[in-house]
Amino acid sequence: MGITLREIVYDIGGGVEGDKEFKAAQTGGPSGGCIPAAYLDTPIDYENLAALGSIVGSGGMIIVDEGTCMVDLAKFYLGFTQDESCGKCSPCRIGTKRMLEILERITKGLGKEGDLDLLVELANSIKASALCGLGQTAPNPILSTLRYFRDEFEAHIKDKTCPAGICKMPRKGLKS
Amino acid sequence: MATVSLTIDNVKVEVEQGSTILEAAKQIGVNIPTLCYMKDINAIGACRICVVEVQGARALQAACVSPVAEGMVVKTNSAAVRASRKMTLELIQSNHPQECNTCQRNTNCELQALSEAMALGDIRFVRPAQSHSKDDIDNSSPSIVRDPRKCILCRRCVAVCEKVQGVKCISTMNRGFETVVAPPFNQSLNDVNCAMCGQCSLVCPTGAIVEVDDTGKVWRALDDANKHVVVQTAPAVRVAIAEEFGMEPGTLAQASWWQPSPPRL
Repeated sequence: MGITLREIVYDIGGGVEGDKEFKAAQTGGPSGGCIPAAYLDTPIDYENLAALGSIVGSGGMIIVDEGTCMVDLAKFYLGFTQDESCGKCSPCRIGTKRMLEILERITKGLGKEGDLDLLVELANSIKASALCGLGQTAPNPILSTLRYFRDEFEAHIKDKTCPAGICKMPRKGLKS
Repeated sequence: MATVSLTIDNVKVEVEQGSTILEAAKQIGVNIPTLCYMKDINAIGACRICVVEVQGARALQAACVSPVAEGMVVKTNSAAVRASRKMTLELIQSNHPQECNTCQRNTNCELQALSEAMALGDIRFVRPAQSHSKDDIDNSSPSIVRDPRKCILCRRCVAVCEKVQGVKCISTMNRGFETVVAPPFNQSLNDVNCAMCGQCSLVCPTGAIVEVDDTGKVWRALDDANKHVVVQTAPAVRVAIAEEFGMEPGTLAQASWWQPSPPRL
C-alpha cells in the first residue's frame, strides 16, 4: 500500500515488454477499472483507486501496452461477467448481454451515434439496480475505459478505425 | 408489537418491525410497482422493478425484500428510481416477443400494463438477441401452454407450484441469459407430474404460461352436422362460471331443472 503504479510496473515488474509504451493498468479483476498512464505516479491504496474509478478488488493487476485496444479490453471483461451472470435479476441477466452486444457491434465497425450514451445509461442503471455485487460491478470496465479512452470508442464508431489495430474493421470505401 | 418509524416520500410512517418497505409504503397509500412479487409466496427481489432509493445505501434497494429500519429515509419516485425502473423494463421488453396483438394475455398482461404506465416507448437496442425461439414452446400438455419467449423469469409459477400446490414440477434451469423455467431436464410438461391445476397460468404476469385455447375445436364440433354437442363443466368450475354470468360470487351455476341426485342407498 502506498507504492506507486510506476514502481510496480517499472521497478518490480521490469517495465513493459519490448520497450513498448505503457497504456493502462486494469486493477481489481474484471469488476475493476483501468488506470491510464497519466496516473502512473499515484500511490496505490483503496481511496486513490476509488477516486480513479477503479478498485483494489482481488488485488490483481493487468498491465497493457499500446498494442491493446481498450474497447476490445472492455468487451473481454464484460464477456466474462456476462457469462458469470446467474440469471436471477433482470438488470444483470439482460443488461450485461445488451452491453456486450453494443461493444461487439462497435468492435466490428458497426457502432452508431448514440451507442456510447446508451452504454453509459445502461451501465449506471445496472450498477444501481442489480441484485448482487457481480451485476453492480459488471459495468465498471466500460465506465472506466470510457472515462479515460473515450476517443478510442469514438474512433471505432465515427472513423471506423481501431487505433490499436486489434479490431477487424470493414475496409474503407465499403458500405456497411 | 415493536414498531419502527421511517420516512417515505417525505411522509412519516410507523410500521410493525420486520415489515418491508413495500408494505410500509402501502400503508400510506404509496404504490410501488412490482412484477415478481407475490405476497407471502414470492418475495425474491428478482425483477428489480420495485427498486427505491434509501438514503445512505450504496445502490437502489428492492422494496419487496428490504426490511424497514428506524429512521430510514426512502424515496419511491425519485428521478434515479424512475430511470432505473424504466431501463429495467426496457431490458425485459428487449427479450420479449413484441406480439401483444395476437397474445392470449393482450390487455390482461402485467408487463404490458406496466410498460404503458411507465410510458416505455421505443426499445433502443439494435437487433437484440432473444434467449428463446418458437421452437422452445411446449404445447405437449392438454391444458397448459408454456412459451419461454414470453417468460420474464419472475418465478411466481415456480413458487405457486412448489409452495401452494406442492407439485414442484417446474423450476429454473440453466444460468444467466439462458435461464428458463421448465420441468426438470427440459422435459415436456406432459411427461412430468404436472397436475394441470393451472395455478401457474393464473399467477403468470405475461403470456408465458396460458391455458390451451380449444375454441377452434368447439366451433368445429358445433359446425359438424353429424355431431350432437353437449357442454359439461367440471364440478368446481360452477362457481367461476356463475361469476362470469353476473351472479353473486360463490353462487353455483346449474340448470334450473337440475336437482342434486339423492344419496344412493
